[in-house]
Amino acid sequence: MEDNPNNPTAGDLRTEEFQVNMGPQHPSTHGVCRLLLTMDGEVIRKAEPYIGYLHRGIEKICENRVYNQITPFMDRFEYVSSMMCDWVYALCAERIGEIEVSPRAEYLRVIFAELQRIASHLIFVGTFAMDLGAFTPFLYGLREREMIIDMFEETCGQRLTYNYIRIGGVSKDINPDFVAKCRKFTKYLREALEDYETILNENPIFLSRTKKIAVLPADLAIAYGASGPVLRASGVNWDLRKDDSYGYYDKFDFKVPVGQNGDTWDRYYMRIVEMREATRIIDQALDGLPEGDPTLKIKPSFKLPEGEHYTRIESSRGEMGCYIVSKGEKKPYRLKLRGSSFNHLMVLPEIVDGLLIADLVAMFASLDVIMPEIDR
Amino acid sequence: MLSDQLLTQLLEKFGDKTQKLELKPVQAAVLVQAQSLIELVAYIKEDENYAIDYLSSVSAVDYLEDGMEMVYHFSSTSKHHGLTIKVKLDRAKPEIPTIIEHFPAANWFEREAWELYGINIVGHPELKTLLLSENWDKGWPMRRDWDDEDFVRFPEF
Amino acid sequence: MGVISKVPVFLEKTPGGGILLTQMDKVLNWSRSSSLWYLLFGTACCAIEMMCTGASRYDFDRLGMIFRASPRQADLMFVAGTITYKMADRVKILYEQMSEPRYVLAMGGCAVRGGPFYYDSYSVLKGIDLVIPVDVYIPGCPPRPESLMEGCIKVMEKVKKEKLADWSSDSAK
Repeated sequence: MEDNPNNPTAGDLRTEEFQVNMGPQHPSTHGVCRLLLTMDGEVIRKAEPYIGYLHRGIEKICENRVYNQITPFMDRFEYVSSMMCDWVYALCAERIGEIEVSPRAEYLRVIFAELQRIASHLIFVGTFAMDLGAFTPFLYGLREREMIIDMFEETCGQRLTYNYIRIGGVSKDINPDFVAKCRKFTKYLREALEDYETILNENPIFLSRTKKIAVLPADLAIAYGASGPVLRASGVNWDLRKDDSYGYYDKFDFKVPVGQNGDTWDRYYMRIVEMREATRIIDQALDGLPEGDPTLKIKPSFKLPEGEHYTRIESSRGEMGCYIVSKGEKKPYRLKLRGSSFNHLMVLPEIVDGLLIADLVAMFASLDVIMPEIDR
Repeated sequence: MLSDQLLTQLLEKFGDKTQKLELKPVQAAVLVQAQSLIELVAYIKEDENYAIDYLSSVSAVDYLEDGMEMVYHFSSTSKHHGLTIKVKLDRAKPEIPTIIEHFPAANWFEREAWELYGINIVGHPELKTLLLSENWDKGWPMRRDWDDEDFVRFPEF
Repeated sequence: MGVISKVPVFLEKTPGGGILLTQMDKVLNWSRSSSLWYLLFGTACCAIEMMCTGASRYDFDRLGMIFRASPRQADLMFVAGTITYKMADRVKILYEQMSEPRYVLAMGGCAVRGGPFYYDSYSVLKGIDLVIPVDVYIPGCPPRPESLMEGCIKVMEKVKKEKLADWSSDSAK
């Protein structure tokens, strides 16, 4: 009897591949994503993602709304980093309409975007550790995030979908005690991040489950359009805040972390370092906050001139893009949204061969995929 | 965006198959015919002056009487410049070749355009349902003239 | 359920048996409402608020509620987030997999009536009660964690009004 070519240790046993469904309701798929896994024993050979369980038709809805009515839908496009979604849409409309934004509003936008980046990465650390079985970082992460949400709630009234960054500026000015609270928070966070690093960074179980698992090579990452911490972990130095700068980011001094191996550990560690750098940016912005009126007095429904533009910013997950085609009316003719998780899920089937299911869970969590960005 | 010199060189090389587009706000944009799309895309990827290796997004736009358009947004991670390529399609029978061999990132974008607009992507290995439900049979919802009896319209003010 | 389900029907008919039944009801309802285990099922933004309610500041564990990953081990299902037509079939399957007694809480505008996606959306189900029976509705977009806690307390009050006789084999639920 000859050896089975697929499985040399099987001797003369007949082996077969079977399919396992990691269905839309699953605690570790971070939303409604279905993965059809083709397994050879314990090892995964192929994974096919099925999406569309959260397809709400936002692009069609936005073709029928005036420009100011679209901002709440942008919040719900990616609710974990809503400030940045509002910003990319407002930036696109301002570039088409050549609308000026006051310096105070630009500084406030940077401060709120960086606070939002920290909040999003805290959720990432919490859910990533929870997927690997550690429950405590989840409670720590959401505790810190509550402090950020308190600051947001005092400014704009909402906890999750803010509708704060509007076309032409922000919706209202900050309270007088915001600056002091924010400084206190950044100082506290720098110390609290030590806690996370102590629990996770040197833990042998964590290291053996994340080091050298699911390596994404740099050329594959660029070919599939990956961006953000996933691309930087593979060794490509590409950050839109520096390479295609927008807002007032060129006035601030911050470092961009770049990884070496492209494995799950690098993707996790990028985000810890980015949180520290974000606190530095916030401190610099608070130091230089100018006076003025950050809101724009504009009629509720206005017309943008004819034109089209594709604008992209560096959100907490990667490149977020908004393409608006305007025909000179009160409503956009076409609005297309591009989320970074779309490309990250596209690259998942390429790096999944040879993993165990536990490794797949760790890799999926490290890609930090949010479903509404994919399905819109 | 591409410098003017590189853009004029590109237009000279491809001659009649391409055409410069004047868009507002100012950006580097080129209109190309559907048959020459793959040639153009392969050239800007391989030539080291352009070194365009990153595809940001692919969108389909429906212009009713003026046909349909597919808009590709490219950029370069090494040279920090970008390019927009547009292809005009006939609305009665829209067809476009796939650019997956050069830019694998276009895979799901093209599937989405096929599913929501009805554009036939020639050569795509896997054209099947992506976003809509499996038993969807009500046409192509993102087209501007799509309507359905269950579709509730937002009241105008 | 066997013999147990015939006991309440028998007790109701005997004179004085009603008192025994209400005491049994009270004990069972108190124990059931103090440890409602919920199914982790969140699709969209309301799922983040549900996570926040289960985490440090607003803690679900003090009400006795722990999250479970499988519908077979859960009594309460939060439908948090927008439900599309594609997902509605799966929600029905999940509901049928939960064992009785089971409760459903529709959280947020999208689960109640379609939310901001009521108009102009070709793929959003306009309310989850078109597919499964709902016990408590919580409006908001997204609702605050305090609202969610209030909704859970209302479910507990509903559980406390249950009667054992309703669960006997003669009546179906």
